Amino acid sequence: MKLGLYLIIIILSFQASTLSSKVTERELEINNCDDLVQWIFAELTEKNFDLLYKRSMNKFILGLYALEKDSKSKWTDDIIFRKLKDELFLVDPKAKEIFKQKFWPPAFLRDIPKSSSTNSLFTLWRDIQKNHPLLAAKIPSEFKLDSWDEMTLRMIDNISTQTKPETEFQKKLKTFYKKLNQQKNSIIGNTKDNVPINKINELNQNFLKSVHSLLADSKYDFDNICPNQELISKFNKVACTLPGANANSNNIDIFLKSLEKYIEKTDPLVNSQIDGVHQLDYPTNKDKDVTFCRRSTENLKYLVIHHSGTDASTTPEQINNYHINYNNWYMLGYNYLVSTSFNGAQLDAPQVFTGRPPEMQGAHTGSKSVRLLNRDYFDLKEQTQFCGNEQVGLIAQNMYDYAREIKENKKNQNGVSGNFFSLGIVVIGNYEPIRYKKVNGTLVPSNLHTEEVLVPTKEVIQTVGELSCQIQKKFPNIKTIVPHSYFKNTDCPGRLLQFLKEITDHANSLGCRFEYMYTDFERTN
Amino acid sequence: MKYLIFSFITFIFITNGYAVEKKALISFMNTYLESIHYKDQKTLKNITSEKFYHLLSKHYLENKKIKQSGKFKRGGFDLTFKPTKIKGEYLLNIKDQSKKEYSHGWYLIKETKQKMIIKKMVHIEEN
Repeated sequence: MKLGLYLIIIILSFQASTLSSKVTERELEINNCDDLVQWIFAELTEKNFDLLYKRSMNKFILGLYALEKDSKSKWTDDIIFRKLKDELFLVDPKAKEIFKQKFWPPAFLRDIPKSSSTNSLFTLWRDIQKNHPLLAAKIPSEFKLDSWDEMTLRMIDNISTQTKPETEFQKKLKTFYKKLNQQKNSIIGNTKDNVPINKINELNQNFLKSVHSLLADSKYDFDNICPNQELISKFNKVACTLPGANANSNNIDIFLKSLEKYIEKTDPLVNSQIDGVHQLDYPTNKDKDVTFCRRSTENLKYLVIHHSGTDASTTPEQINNYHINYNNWYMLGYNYLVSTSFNGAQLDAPQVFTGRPPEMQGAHTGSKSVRLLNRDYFDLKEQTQFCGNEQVGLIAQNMYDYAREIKENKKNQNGVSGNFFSLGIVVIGNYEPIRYKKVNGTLVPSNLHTEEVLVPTKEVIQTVGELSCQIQKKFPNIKTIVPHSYFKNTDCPGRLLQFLKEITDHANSLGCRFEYMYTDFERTN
Repeated sequence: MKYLIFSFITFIFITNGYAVEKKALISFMNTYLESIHYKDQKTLKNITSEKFYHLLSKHYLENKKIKQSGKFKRGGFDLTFKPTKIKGEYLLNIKDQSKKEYSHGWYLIKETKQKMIIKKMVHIEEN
């Protein structure tokens, strides 16, 4: 009889190790961040879920069996232990074969739970590990719930016990898989229409948690099953390209801790959608070798006001086309666009359109930002940006190291740009009076963009003020409205510069708190 | 060794092509500045697009307050340019050699087989 039980234990252990080795095999194929994301999705398939489920169940049964066989304690009489056993047999009648059924008290003598489910079983198992240290201490460590089981438990949470579990599993998995796909899209800044924008941050958060969980599991597998130094370094290289990681960390533990911190710090419920702002889906340069940078919206401090310098009838799509074709950028550089025209007709009330997502660093201030380096240098220590694209993945860069390197090398270009700390609002139209500059003794018109030079209307000022206030409510660290000329020696935003006080006043009248910084607006040219 | 020679020849071709391109653009801008200096409508009409000429005419040629003095001297300005994604189109900016900053507006130059024209002036941002 004992021999039979040992055989069963060996078979079950073998099954568990087979699963682990399958997971490890997958990791061998990971070469870049994209592979990692693909791997995460691949792992969350139904087949793997079944394997995970079986693995968890086997561990559970073996754990119980180990407790029962513990001769030093009489767990058989323990209420919790009995409850666990009853739950187990209701969920998996075959498990009875492992235990000695003939010694088990008859049903009428026991307090059998009225309903039982895998969910409640796992919950009990987890509760014991957390709340009953004496009992938990007796469970051999290899049979304790690990993060794979936790993930399995999370996935079967909320599954109705009244319907067939298989169908519900499928539904749950499909939903989860779909969400993660949407998640992936949102991370690369290519949100689709059917994804509610206000859920993106929440999904981002869930995604990061899933990634964290999976990475933690992989660490377990690497440490315990495949302690190959070469593979660990390869894995670390991949893992460190993820958000929240420190680029310098070459240790998975450091990486996991930094990712945990990142998850804690990021507000999961930040809603980037703003009332009355029209959502637009822009074509991007994603198929080409063009990169973009991603940053935490916590870093946002400034709202930068621009004018487009084009005719007022220019559409956001036209600006996007211009930026992707002429400037060769990933997509249009501004975050919000204010238009006073639609199909060539003048609008009474200006409309606001979305541009680049706030979590994607904009391209509007210019790369020279000496003022910013002096002012915000100390805030950079904990900041990281992630640059790259779909092909190469996103590479983490510590902003403080980056800034220091620039300062030491006395570079003034491609440095820590004002884009990192700001969101750009562009008012479509030319607000810049025509100027003339002397070139080689000849007076030349230097900004002959449009026939008409506009003066900001009351409606435009109010719309920009209102938008600024709504943005501050979403991103409370933004406390200053500055013109483009704050960051760069430029004529932009033209006559809008003279109306910044009105814009700030209007935003503050709506309950916002923007600082006034007019002394900084002196033009140097 | 042969790779070295090949690389050298390629380098010569590239730099040579770049030099010719820049030389042509400098010459073209000299023509533009000269015709601006003398308000030479005929030449300006020939080297600019209809739309840009219209803007020049309205804001510069018909502006009687702007009067240039002295003789025009060729050269004396710095030029920067970058190709756009459309073949034969350049974004070009000029500055006086004594000034630090380039002008805010950029000329969009279109090059055909016969000649170059200024299509329009555009407002672009650095990344």
